Amino acid sequence: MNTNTRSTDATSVIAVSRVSKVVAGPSGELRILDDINFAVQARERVAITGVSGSGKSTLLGLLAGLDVVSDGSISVLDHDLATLTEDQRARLRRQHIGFVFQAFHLVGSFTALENVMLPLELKDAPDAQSRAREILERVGLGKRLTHFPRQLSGGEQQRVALARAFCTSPDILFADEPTGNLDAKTAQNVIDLLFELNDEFGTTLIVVTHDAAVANDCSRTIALAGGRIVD
Amino acid sequence: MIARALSHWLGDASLTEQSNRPSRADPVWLFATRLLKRDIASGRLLIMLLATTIAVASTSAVNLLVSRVKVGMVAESSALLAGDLALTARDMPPARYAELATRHNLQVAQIVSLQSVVAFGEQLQLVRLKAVDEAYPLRGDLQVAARPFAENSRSLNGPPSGEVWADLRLYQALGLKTGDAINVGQSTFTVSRVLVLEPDRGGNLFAFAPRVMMNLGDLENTGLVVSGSRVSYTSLFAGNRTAVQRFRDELDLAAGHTLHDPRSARPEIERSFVQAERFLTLAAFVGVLLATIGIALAADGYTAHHEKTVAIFKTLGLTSRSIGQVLAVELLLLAIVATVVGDALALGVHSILIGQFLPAAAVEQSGLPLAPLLHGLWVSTIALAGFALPTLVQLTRMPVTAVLSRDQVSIKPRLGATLVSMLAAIVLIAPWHLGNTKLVAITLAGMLTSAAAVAACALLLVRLLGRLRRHTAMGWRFGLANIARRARLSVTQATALGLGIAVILLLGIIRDDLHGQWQSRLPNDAPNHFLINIQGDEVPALKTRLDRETGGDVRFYPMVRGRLTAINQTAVNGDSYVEPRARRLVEREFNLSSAVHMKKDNRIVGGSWWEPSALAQMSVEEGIAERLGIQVGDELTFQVADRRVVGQVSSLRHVDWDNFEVNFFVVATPDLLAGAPTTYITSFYLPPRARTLMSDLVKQFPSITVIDVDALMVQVRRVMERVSTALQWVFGFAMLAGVFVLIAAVQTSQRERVLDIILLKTLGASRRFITATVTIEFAVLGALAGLLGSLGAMGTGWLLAHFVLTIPYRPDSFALLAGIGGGIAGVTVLGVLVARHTQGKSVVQSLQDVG
Repeated sequence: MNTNTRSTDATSVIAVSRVSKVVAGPSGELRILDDINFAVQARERVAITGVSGSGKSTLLGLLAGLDVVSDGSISVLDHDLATLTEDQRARLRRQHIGFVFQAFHLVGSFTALENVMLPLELKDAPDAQSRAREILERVGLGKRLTHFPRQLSGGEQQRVALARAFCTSPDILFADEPTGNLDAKTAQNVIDLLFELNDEFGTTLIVVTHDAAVANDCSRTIALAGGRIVD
Repeated sequence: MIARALSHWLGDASLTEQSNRPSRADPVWLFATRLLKRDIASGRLLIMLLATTIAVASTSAVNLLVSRVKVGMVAESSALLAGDLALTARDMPPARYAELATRHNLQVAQIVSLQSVVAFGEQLQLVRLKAVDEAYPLRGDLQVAARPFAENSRSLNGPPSGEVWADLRLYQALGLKTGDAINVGQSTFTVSRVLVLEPDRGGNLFAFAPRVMMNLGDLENTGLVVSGSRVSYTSLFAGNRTAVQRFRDELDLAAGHTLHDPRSARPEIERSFVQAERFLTLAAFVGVLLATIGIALAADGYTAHHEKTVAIFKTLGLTSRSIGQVLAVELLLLAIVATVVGDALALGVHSILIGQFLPAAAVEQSGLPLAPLLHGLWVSTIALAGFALPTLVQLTRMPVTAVLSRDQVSIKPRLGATLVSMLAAIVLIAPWHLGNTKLVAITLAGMLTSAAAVAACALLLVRLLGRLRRHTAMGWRFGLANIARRARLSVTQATALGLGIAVILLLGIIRDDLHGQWQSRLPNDAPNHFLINIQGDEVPALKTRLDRETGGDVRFYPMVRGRLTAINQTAVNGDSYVEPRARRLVEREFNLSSAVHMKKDNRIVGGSWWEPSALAQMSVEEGIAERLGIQVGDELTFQVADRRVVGQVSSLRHVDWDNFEVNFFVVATPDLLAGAPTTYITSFYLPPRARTLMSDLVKQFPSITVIDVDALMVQVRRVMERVSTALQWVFGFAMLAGVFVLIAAVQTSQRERVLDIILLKTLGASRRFITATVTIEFAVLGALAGLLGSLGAMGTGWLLAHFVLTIPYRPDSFALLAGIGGGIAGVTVLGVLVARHTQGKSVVQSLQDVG
């Protein structure tokens, strides 16, 4: 089930080739990622695992176009991220990518409904409100539509985040430690919901986690250690 | 549709590239509206909204009042000119003036004045004759009485044909009774009224000749106006303000013709008005400056709060440019909301106040001006664009990777760009209010220098306090440590608070000085009656009577008429001077007086007053000295009756001519005027109920002449009182803006303070201990701000008083104490109130609040 270093091919939605990430540290250059190569096929469910500091979140940031590589290349949906401007990468995210974060990252001053409507409105999608309402009902928050994030529990906030991530039917969904801030029971519910929605929407899922159970439920795992992919 | 068009204009193709469907709202406007609604509701933009609103409200209210009161005061002052404009000429004005006025729908009135002699029986008297047409007066009241010292009544027109009105002096001089017939030139007229007050009489109270008013239609028959007569023609014009202005613009004045507007009608009102206008506009401007400090502080807090939101927006695909647009549109919407609310407030306040400032007729005449309300939108937009937008736009630099970071990611503010935009905003706002470059420059220079000095001192003191804390008890240690640890915030807070306090104090100082000056210039018991032509032997009896009736010590001043004939033995006459007023001064006789001691309301501006034993010295009023080129040390020669009086100028005096006191251009040592034909003059205050005293006095002392200026003083005082009330209100607005600065400044450290309180609570600190540390922190901050603010206020106050308002300025230790005391009290109370809000909550609730 776990194969970790497939090279890129024509059907990949993500293709990563010889990617490195170097940042300036207090005592010189710090190589966070080194010579990363893999590809992800459409509808695949991939876990990126590793201990703290192994470079998981950095890799996720690069894949999502939130950050740029120091070396190598990443192709997402046939777009070479290195050739895109920041605005073009933002547009790519808007049209094709969804996110779920460990800290939920809902807009505090927007209601649950408005948070979910946000990416739909950004895409100028028709019926943003009814679609957002529909998916919030799907994740069990039909009665919490007008609640603000601070009025919701951690599990509920993450469900709003899932609804927001899936409402635009993204081609790829990135999840960064989606259960990291939740207790075991809530975490399981959230993961179950994440995978259910993933199946329903046919999305390619890349999930960063250090939870072995989550990783086991993925079709394959990419394990990182010291910024490199390990077997 | 407009939103979409604006968004396209703003230029974010990326956001609108798929949005050819017309039905849905533009995301930029959608998010901006939503953010604004929520940010106001959650209180995050509330202070910014309130500060902007108060900036709009105070500016609009002040501008509404100033523009309305200005129009109203001009209307009132028009009463002192008897029209909105007066054109004077030595020859008959050409018909084109009146034709132009008629084309502009203006009313026109004609006056012809000349010196003449009237005869009553065998007696002859030189008079100033004023012939007026039926339209006169176009503005103001003509006051007459049925007989001397009877109750005044208002007359809408001048005398009818065949009648003349004579002033009290002519009644006295000729022993007239109402109904008597007098001859003017070749005609005979019935004296039908006492002429008490003409609106356009101006300051010429002591004109030598008594005054007679007649109908212009009768003038020709008198045969007085012939070729070569010294006649003065005046045309009055009045009408709608814009029409008057257009007429004025189009009027092509012939040489020797002079146009007067109401402001020049009475110099004392003009001066008060100019000062009041400057103060009101200054107050409005600093009110806005105060509010902008609040806006800048609130923007800082807003930015800190929205860093995460911006990162999320970016993650979801919003570009930096779109985020900038969302924030700009949010501020634009905020400006519109603030303008609507602020203008509504201003209109409310204005409608309450305007009735107090202007009589109903003047209110109607002035109309509600729209420009001040629109100006509100300009002020709010520019204030937010200059003071909030640069800070908010920095949010667009928030790295999108912040969403992945476990730590708090903050952007480093670009201070230089922010300061430049703030300065630009001030410059853009300022000229709209003032139109007085010196006032703008000094106010801004004072404020900026104060800001820089306050910031530098605050930085030094904050560092000093950090060191001091080691030697203090625990509560103080925490309080002082908080100030030192949040050094940047503390300096920002102390600077903003200091500037707020400086501005409030500054307005207070200037308001008190102006108010005090007006009060002293025209106190309630300022003289309202003058007696002249008093013979020396009448003085003791008259003084006893007047002292008893007025309950005071009535002073009499000797008066000798003399003509200046030489300066330093060089003969002078009308030809020696070019300036008309200087020519007139040397062509006519002066009223000279003598004194051992200087009058208390005079002030020496050159040389020194003489010793009691000094001989042959003179003191000259500074204005006339400048006009005639007289300096200390010069020798002046006057022709007094049949002898020459020669004295040396030992001092130049400043005389306040507006205070209705008796004063003289030239005062000499008593020896110089001894033996010269002398009459005496006195002035005193007589309450209205004692008016019958005057008629008794005239019977007892038939040779004296009474000049009653009560009606005139009521006019002058009414204008000054209204201006004083306006000043109080303007000050109130500025104070309110100051309070918002205090709140905004206190709130800037709110997030950090909440985290501190959470930590202290978690560690088991008692509520009392937390309150003590917060109180100490704010009290010290308040004291710092108060000290620096009051020093800044005193410095700027001096600059303004000295260079702009031309009023004397005395540094006041009360201002210093008030600044420090007010700073401590205001900041502590507000700070503790804000902190109490957090203290009452559980740790979890507090954590949710700070996000």
